[in-house]
Amino acid sequence: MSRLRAILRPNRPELRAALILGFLMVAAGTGAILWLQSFKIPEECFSGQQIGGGDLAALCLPYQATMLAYGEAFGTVGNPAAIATLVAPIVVALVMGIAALAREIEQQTTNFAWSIAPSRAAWLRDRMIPILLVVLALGLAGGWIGDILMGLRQRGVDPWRNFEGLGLRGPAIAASGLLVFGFAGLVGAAVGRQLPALLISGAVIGFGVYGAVTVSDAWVQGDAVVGTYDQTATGDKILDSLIRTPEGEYISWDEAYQRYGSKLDTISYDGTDNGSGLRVATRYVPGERYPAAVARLSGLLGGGGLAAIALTFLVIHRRRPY
Amino acid sequence: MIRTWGLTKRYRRRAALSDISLEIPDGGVTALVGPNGAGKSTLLKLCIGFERPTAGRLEVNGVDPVRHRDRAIASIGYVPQTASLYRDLSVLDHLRLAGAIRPGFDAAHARERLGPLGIPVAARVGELSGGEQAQVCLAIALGTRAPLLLLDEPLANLDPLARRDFLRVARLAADDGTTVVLSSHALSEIEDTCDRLLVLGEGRVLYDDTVAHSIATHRVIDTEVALDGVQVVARFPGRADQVHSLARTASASIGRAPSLEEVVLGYLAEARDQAAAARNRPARDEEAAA
Repeated sequence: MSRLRAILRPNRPELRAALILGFLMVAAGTGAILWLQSFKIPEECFSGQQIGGGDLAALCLPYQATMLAYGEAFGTVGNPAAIATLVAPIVVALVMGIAALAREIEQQTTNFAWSIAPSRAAWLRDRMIPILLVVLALGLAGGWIGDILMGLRQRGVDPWRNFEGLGLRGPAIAASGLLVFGFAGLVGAAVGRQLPALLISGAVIGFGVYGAVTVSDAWVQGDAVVGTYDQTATGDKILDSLIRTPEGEYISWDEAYQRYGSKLDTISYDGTDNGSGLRVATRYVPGERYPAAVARLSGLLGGGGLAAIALTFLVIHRRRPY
Repeated sequence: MIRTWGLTKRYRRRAALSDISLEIPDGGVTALVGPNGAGKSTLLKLCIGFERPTAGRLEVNGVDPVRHRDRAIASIGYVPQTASLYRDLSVLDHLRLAGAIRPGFDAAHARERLGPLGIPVAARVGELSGGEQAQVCLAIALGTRAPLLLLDEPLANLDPLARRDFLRVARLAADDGTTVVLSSHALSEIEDTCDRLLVLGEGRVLYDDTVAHSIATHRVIDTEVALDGVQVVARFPGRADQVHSLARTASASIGRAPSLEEVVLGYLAEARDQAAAARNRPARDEEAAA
């Protein structure tokens, strides 16, 4: 333990700040969750509708005002808390990634450390792993709170069966933290200057996240099914509205208008036939596929982060300490 | 022991070291001297694996620091030119950090070196003077218990008193059996500390011998008139507009015994003269051809 403290001693200010930020994030999230849960509204009143809108059954009529207050409370407290659970782990990962290497090289303290430590790989490993664990813990906590807040935002819908906010909550936050930390560390090790490393890693991370999300989206589309709109549920990822031809072919609305013209004007959206043989269909990914989707996205983000960390070892092995 | 074979280090077009082969034996204090850009720091950084040679090879205590940097560093204590310490950390934090990242680090030995100098281990490094920071670096290097100590111009930013303290500790380490290589500009101050002299200039070794033999085999002639049968290394400027000549002779009847600084100045002047002659040679050849 004393060895760990000694190794992390140069990063104590950032670690303290990270822990304070983490505490504030957890406190804000927990406070928001407890407050939102304190609204005594029957779960049935949330079924099949978004918060603050829709038709209310007789049961829910007395709770109309409370539900409006709930919606306002979510906007006032729930949304900022959800944003905090996303931003705090990312900011901590970025700052820690830069501080771990770019600052050391810029201030030339690597001259000291690398002339004493026989193995730079061991030096890097001993520093990176504890910081990485802090980043991951913060990300997991943030993601977990984000999931609960999503459950409170769309009551009655299991957040793990809900594509809403994919990548902005749950384990993807921890994976994003890993990606940000990895790239910040890699760029910091290569550039060796804090401000340029911050700017460059920001751009690199942006590309990395964009790439991961693009691949993930393409992957998710592979899970899509086609059905009627009524078959979809809150939490499903709606991809497209299509027309099913009498021959069983699914075509876009534009193409359907070209082919069938005014016959589409009387088409009903519940998937029933209006006599033309044309039906409205919906291409969507069922909410049940969310765990697989979030696992794949987290894998892409986390894998990118781990690859960046592996490259950091290579850069540190070869570079000068100044 | 440090040995190099045809060691060359280039930074883009500039050669810091050109094809140097040398041997620094175990024991004592070797002074590595030369003008700015002579390659002193480069040589030490190559030894500790901070730089990679462009050509040639070197061994530090029998280990190639390029291929086995970890093993080379395990046998080296290094003090850089500027104290590369964490300003916000205390001296004690540094000793603990060194203990955490260096197997076998002897923190008690390092503290023993700091104690007599009155440097409080609880003090933050940022609050210490330049001389005290250099002493902390030296103490940590000594705490590694490495058989070889590389001191890269540690005196450059120190006041005269701090230099004396630093050199005293380095000398004590050498007396305890550590091999010390000290690069420095402050020739007059290291004269009493060093056992061996290695002069670098123009990226090559200009002179290499023990201090005692260097003094014994050279004389300074305070005249510009050359003496028959005496091999003059070079003329160099003395104090107050005087010009001296460094002669390679052990004859006590000629001139006077040189200081170590004068030996170094003589060989640096010789290198300068040779470089100037090399630059002028093409012009003379052209004149002769015409």
